[in-house]
Amino acid sequence: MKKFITLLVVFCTLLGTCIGAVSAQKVIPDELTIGMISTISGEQALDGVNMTDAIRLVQKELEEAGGLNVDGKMVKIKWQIEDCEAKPEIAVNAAQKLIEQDKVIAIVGPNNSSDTIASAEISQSAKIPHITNTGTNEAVTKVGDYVFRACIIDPFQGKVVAQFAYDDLNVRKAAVIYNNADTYSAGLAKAFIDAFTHLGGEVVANEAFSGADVKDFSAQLTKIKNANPEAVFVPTHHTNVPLILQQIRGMGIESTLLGCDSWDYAVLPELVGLDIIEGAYYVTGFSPDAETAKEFVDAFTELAGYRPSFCSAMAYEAAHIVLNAIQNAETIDGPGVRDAMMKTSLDLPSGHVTFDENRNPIKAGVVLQVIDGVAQYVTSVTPAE
Amino acid sequence: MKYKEAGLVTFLQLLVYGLQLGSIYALLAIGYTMVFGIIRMINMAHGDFLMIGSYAVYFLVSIFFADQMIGPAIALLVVMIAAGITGMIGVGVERIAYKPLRKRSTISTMIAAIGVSLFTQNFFRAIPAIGPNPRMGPKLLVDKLFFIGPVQLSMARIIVIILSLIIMAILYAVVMNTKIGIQMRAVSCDKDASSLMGADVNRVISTTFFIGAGLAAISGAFYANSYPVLTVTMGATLGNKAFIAAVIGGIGDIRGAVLGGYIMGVIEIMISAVYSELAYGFSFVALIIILLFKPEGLLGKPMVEKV
Amino acid sequence: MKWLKNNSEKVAIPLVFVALWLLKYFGVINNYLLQILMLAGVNIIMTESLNLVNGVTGQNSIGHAGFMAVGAYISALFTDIIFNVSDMPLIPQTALFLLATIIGGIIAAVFGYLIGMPTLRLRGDYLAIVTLGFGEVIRAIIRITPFVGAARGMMGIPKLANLFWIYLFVILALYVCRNFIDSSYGRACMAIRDNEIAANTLGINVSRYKIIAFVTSAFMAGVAGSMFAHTMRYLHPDIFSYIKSTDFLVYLYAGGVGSISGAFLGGFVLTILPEILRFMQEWRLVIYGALLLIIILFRPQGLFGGKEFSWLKLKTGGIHQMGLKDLLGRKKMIKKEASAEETSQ
Repeated sequence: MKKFITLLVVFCTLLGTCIGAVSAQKVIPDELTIGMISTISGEQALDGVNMTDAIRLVQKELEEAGGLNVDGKMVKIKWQIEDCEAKPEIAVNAAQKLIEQDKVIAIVGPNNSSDTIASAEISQSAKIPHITNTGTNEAVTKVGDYVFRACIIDPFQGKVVAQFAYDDLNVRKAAVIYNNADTYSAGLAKAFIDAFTHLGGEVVANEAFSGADVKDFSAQLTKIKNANPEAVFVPTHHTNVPLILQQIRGMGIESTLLGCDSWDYAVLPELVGLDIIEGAYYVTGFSPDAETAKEFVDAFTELAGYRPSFCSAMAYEAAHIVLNAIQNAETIDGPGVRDAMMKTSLDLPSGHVTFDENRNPIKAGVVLQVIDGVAQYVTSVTPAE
Repeated sequence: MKYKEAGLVTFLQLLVYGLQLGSIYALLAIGYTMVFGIIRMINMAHGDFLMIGSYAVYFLVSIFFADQMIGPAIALLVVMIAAGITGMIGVGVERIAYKPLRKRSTISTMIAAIGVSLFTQNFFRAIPAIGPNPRMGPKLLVDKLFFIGPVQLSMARIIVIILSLIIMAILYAVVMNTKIGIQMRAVSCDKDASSLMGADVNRVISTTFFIGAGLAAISGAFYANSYPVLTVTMGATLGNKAFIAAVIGGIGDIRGAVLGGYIMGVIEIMISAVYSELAYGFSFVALIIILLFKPEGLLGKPMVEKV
Repeated sequence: MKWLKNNSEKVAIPLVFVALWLLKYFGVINNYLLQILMLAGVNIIMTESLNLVNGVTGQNSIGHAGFMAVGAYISALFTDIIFNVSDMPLIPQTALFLLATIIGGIIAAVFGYLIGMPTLRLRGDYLAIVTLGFGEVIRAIIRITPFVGAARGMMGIPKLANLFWIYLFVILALYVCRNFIDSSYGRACMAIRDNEIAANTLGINVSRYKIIAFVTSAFMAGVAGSMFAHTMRYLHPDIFSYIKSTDFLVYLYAGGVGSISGAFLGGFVLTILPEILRFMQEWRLVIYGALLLIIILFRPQGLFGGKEFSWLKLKTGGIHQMGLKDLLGRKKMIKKEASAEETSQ
């Protein structure tokens, strides 16, 4: 009996510690918390830094303005950043924590589709609006009507690349190398292949590798080299891009290189090698050269010390979409902010943003070309349906 | 006929790629096999020595030879210094984290190694000097493509293969002929008896860790040269593959580790060429099949267990 | 009173659940804590299952997440795709959920048998390699199977697992393990762990018992997988990578290998620890790794010291003191006996 009581005490203490350690905080009416989930650790830690810096910029802007002006009242905005290690189950925990513990009004992030799908299920059932910055997979916003995104979607992006390659670069034979363990990569590859063959082009080699930890692509690239394509499309996460591009050139494949929005990091050209990436094209949803982006790019570069990536730009935009919705919401709670987000009509660095009925922003794809290690604006493409 | 020829050319080319990847696995597998041979421990943190080694090369080059083209002699020197530093770290890790566990079961030292691995990776990521940004590995060798007949070959890859073979030959000579090598073999045979015969067991274990970690660092340098993107998690999967390579060859046997490493590299590349979607999984299947027919590994001797 | 003393667990187990339920009802346990508790429950089942192989039978399975993946995907396939359970009334929904869980477990057990049968006949650490390989192969196959979502992952799985079911399955897992250890099977397995050759000479069919333990363990892992799927509502092949398997090993050895209670506490504490460390931001996993090392170095028998909850009432004397320290102690004893024999000769 004594032992049993000891056991019960031990159990209750354990329970108590875990409740005590994460005790709920009091919500002050003139302060609001917005959550952000990001990959602070894990393979994609670079995204975490990019997103955190974007949020720091937003925070700085808010501090300078003295808070967020909601109907004349300055509301203090607090940002709560949580790590998801690029693991869906940790993302779920993070979302639960933000909603339950920090009582957030909305969630920004995470930066990849799998984590977003997993964590958005939580926000959806708690009726908390959730906007991912770079979760580009089509399925993300299908989770429910509280899930938004700030970026363009994969099928759209694939179409943009295909159309740009076919019309502007006159490519007729293309090859694709992608990561079949990754939603983002596989989705883009499929979208590109469908659109490109639909336009009348031929995909002469379609090669997959599995897992982010594959480092040697010689076998796949040998096949691509033998197929002799005019352009190679490399829709993979930035962690794989440098090695693939280096090996493409290292094997003597001289085709034009085509990429996707996860190429858009200021450090990437240097990582790949300036001579290797020179002349490569990639599609993204944001051009740092655009007139609308100038103010943001300057402020960000001053604060963070590097040019904003697509990931930071979209985190910045997502944050502003949420802030704007809070300003316009009829009631400041999940459903109210969600309804206001649906009506978003806002001028942001990437241009004017509105949402369609699937909560995807209506934007044109932007094609950039890497010249002397810096991505330069080439053209904007809106693919024909 | 023409088709056949094209197939042969591709095969030869893939073989070279496979051998180059295999060299990296082999160098790493030697460390696993030596440590296992001597203290019966699966050092799950071995892949992280590769990471430390390649970062050491990176920092040495960027501090002392920033923006300079370095010649082959200096490159070799840098690799050796990096190997020395990593070797010392290896000895330190053994002293702090593994030595107190020496008398415990294989698996509990393995868990300690997992702890070391978790700690190293996340610690490196958290300190500002390294951080989460991937680094561009230093180019120690400038690559040149050349043709032998229709087969396109890469100079850097061939050099990596040759250098690895030379290093492994030297190591084999050291283990077979020198005093410390003989002590190593004796300790791996019977720790207590060799201690009675005058072998300093602690010193032998430290030397083993030094050599193992040093080889991992060399393998890291070669790796960084061929796949020049450094991240703190780069060693994890490589470590796993090298471990499997060591088991395939017959764990505890240096020649086995080399053979296993090359088999692993070639199988991986060849399967990727045939059906890339399943490459990673299927190289495991191939290995499982080898093990089913030869459970002690290709070169391993069947272990006779004494009661 | 005497009855209460002897059957304390019959009162305590429902009481703990009622306490948890009341805490949840009054909002002390919010959804976040609930989520962590449920994940902890899943991890406890996994750790207990691993304990049957690694702790009780002395074999090394280092790819246990593979069985979890099989259970998770099969059960989710069942509830989500074959029968669209989410629109059904409660009773058939629950029945199908339990059925799916059992089927997930059975399929995982079948895989366990297919893997264990050839490998467990061999002596040595081959099971380690083969299980590691199995986990990777399963992942590679899921990745290219379109009807379970391939690389995108499987989404929209109905949330059928709740605190009650997870609690029930954790308790069931504890009792299955206890009864297994307390049976002739368990004693045979422990004999194999302690000395395979001696067990063989005593007439124990070594490979048969190893396979029985392994298949049971795979079944439990499959059940845990089903719980995981219906808690998380989203499955992705990369969730079940070897890193996940390593996590369970860490839970088991930090908690106390070979002990049911150690596995329980290892799974529980180490699931919660990274969440408590959330305020550390990027130093979170550094501290986690360091703590793990400290536990292994300074508390070799695991956090729980290799003791057992007394209410489990394990009659087999050995298990009470079954920690790594004692593994070591036993080896010393064997050596002592050996040297004693030598001197007597």
